[in-house]
Amino acid sequence: MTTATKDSLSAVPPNRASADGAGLAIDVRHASKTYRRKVQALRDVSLQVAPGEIFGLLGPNGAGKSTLVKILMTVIRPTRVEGSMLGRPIGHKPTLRDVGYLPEHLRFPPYLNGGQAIDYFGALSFVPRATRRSRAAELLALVGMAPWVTHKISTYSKGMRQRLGLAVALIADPKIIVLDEPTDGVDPVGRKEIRDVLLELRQRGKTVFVNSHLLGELEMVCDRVAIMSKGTVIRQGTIRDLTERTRRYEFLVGGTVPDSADARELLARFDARIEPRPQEQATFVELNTSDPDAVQPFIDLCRSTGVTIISARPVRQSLEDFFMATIKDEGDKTPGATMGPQTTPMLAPAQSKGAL
Amino acid sequence: MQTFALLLDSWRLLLSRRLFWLTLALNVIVVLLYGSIAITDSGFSLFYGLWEIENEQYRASTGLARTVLLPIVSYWMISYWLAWFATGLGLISTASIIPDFLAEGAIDMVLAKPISRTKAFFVKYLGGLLFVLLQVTVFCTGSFLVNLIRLGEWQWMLFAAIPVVTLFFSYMFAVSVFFGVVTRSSIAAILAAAVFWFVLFIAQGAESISHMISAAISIQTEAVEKRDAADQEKFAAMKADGLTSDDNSFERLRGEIEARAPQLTDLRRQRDLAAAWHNGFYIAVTVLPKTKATIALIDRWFAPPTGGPTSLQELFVANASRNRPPRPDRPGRAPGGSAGEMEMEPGQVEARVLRDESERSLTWVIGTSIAFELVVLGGALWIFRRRDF
Repeated sequence: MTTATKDSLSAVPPNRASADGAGLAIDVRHASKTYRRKVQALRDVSLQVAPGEIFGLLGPNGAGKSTLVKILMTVIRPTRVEGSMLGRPIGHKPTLRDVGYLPEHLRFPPYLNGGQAIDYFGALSFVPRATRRSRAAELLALVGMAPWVTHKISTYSKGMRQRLGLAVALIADPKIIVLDEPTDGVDPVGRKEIRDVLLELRQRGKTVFVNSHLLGELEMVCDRVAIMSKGTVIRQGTIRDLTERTRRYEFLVGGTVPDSADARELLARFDARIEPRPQEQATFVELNTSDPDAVQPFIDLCRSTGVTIISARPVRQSLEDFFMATIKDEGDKTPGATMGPQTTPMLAPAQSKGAL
Repeated sequence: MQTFALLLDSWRLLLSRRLFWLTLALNVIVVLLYGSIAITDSGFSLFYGLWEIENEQYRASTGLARTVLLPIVSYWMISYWLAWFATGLGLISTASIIPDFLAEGAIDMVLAKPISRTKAFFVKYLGGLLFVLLQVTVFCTGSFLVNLIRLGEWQWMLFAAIPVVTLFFSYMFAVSVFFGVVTRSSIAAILAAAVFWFVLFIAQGAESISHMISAAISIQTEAVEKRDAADQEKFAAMKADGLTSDDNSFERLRGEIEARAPQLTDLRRQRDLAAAWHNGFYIAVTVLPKTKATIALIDRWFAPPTGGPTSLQELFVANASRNRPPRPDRPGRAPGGSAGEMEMEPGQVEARVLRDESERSLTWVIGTSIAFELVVLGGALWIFRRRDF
C-alpha cells in the first residue's frame, strides 16, 4: 500500500467553481428525488466538488447520501437534477467512462476470480484488453490483493471484496472516483490502507467523492465535506471552515480563578466556561476564541495574581462533534423531531458502519 | 467490447452451474444411447451389440428399420428430450440470471458503466439463451455424427433443431425474465415460467382437441353432403325416367333423402359449433407462443432424402391408412345406411389435422410467437429502464 502524509492535505486544489459550474469535477444543483410520489429522499440538493480534491458526504442513515451518489452514477433516476459531471450533464452515460464507482453493499459475481472481475468491469468501461491486463496487476498490488488474483471471489472475506471493489473502480484510470461506504467491513488496518490509497489518488490529481458515516477518520483525508440530513445539505465547506467557529482555548490553572472585577469582565468577554476540579486542586477554564493574542490578558491576569497555569492549549471541535451538534440543531429546528434510529449517526468505530 | 464482456460473463456463469454440466452429461448419454442402436441383417441391436433383437420387418434389407430410426431423432429425441427435459432444466438453471444481475450491489456495478440499460438487458437475455444453445448444439452435433456413422447420411437439417429449440426455450425464458425483473426472485421466475408453460400446454391441447373434433364433424358432414348430393342426383334422374312412388327403389331413395335432411341439418349445426369453439381456441393460441408448432417445424423440415414419413405421428397415420381392412360396402357408408352412423376412414381425421397444421405459415408459427416474446421482453425492459436500484 502506498502511504501518504498529512502534509499532502496542504495541496488542496482551489475551488474553481464558477457560476455555470465550469471547471468543477461535480456540480450538482437542485437534485430532488421522490419515491412513488410520497417519500422525499432528496430535497433540492446542491453541491460542488473541485477537481483533485477529496470530498466527503456525511450524514446519518436515511439522509439521502446513497441516493445522491446513485443519481450521479445513473443507478437511480432523479425527479429533478441540474448540473454537470466533468463538464457534461449528469446522467450522460459516456461520461461514466471517466468515473470509477464502488457501491455500497458491493456484490461481485461469485464465479469470477479477482482478475476476471477486474477484466470484466474494465471491458464494460471500454478499457483495451492489454491495458486491463497490465493495470489489473498494478491495482491488485495497490489494494493488497495480488496474491488472491486467481482465487474465486466466493472465497473472499467482505474486506477483501471491498479492496477488490476499489481496484475495479480504478481500472479505467478514472478522473473521478465515487466511493460509497468504502470501508464497509474492512478491518482497522485495511481502513488505514484505503485511506492511504485515497491520499495517493489525490496526489495523482484524481477527484475522490466519498460517501460515508466515517466522521472522525474521514476528517483525516477530506478537503471538503457536505453534511446531509433528511434529504438536504445542511452544511458544506472545508473542515477548517466548518469547525472554525468552534475553536477555543482550554486552560487548567492551579487553585481557583481570580475573582476580581477585572477578571470577571475578562472572562465574560470570552463567554468563558469555568469548571472547578477539586480532586486536582485546579480549575478548568475554556475561552471561546481562536485568537492567541486575545488570550494573553487572561495569562497576564493569572501571572499577576499568582495563579499557576498548569496547561494551556488551543482546541477545536472534531468533525464528529461538529456533525453531532449540526444534526442535533437540525433536529431541534424541526417541530416534533426526534433523534430516532434513522437520524442518529454511528459514532463509535465499533458501531460505525464504515468508518474510514 | 461490452457485448463480448457481458456474453463472456454469462458463459462463465453457465460453466459455474452444476445443472449445466448435468444437462450436458445427460445430453451426451442420450446421444450415446441413440448411437448404440444399429440395424443388422437379422433385425437390430441395442447398447452397441449387447442386445440383439431379431425382427423380420425391421432389418437392414427391408429399409423399414431406417424409416423408424430417423423419426426417433426428429420426433422423440428432439421433441421430447430437448424440447421438454433439456428446456425444463434450462429454465431452472437460467432463472436466477436476471435476479442475480439485478441484485443490489451487482446491478450498480453495471449501470454505473457507460452502457445503456437496453443493451445490458438484451445482452444479458441473450446470455441466458446460451444455455440451451450450447446444449442443443452438442446434442445435434452428436446426433449428426451418429447418423453419419450408422446410416451414412449427412443430415444437415438436424442442425435446424438448434435455432428451433433455442427459439422454443426463448418463449418461456422471456416470461422467466419478465418475472425476474418484476420480482427479482429466482423462485418466482421459475414458477412463472412453469405456470406459463402449463398454460401453453393446456391452450394448445384444447386447440388441438377442438381441431380434431371440428375436423371429424367436418369430414362426417362432407361425406353425408356428398352422399346426399349423389342421392339427390339419382332421385332427379329417376324422376326424369318416369319412375313414380309406385316403384320401390324410388320410394326407398326418397325416404332416405327425407330421413337424412334433419340429420344433415344437425350435423351442419354441430360442425359450425365445433368450428366456432376451435376458432376461439385458435385465436387464443395465435396470441400465445406456439411451442408445439415450433417444435413441429423440425418434422416439417426434416425430410429424409428417400422420402416417407418424417415423424412417428406421420408414420402412425400412414400405417393406419395402409393397414385399413377392405370395406365390404361402399366407402363411408355403414351397412345400415344411416347418415348418423357414417364411418370415417381410419386416420382420416389425423391426416386432415396434420394437413391443416402443416399449412400454417411460418409467420403464424414463429412470427406471432416472437411478437408475443417481444411484447413480454418489451414490458420487462420498460420496467428495467425505469426502475431505481
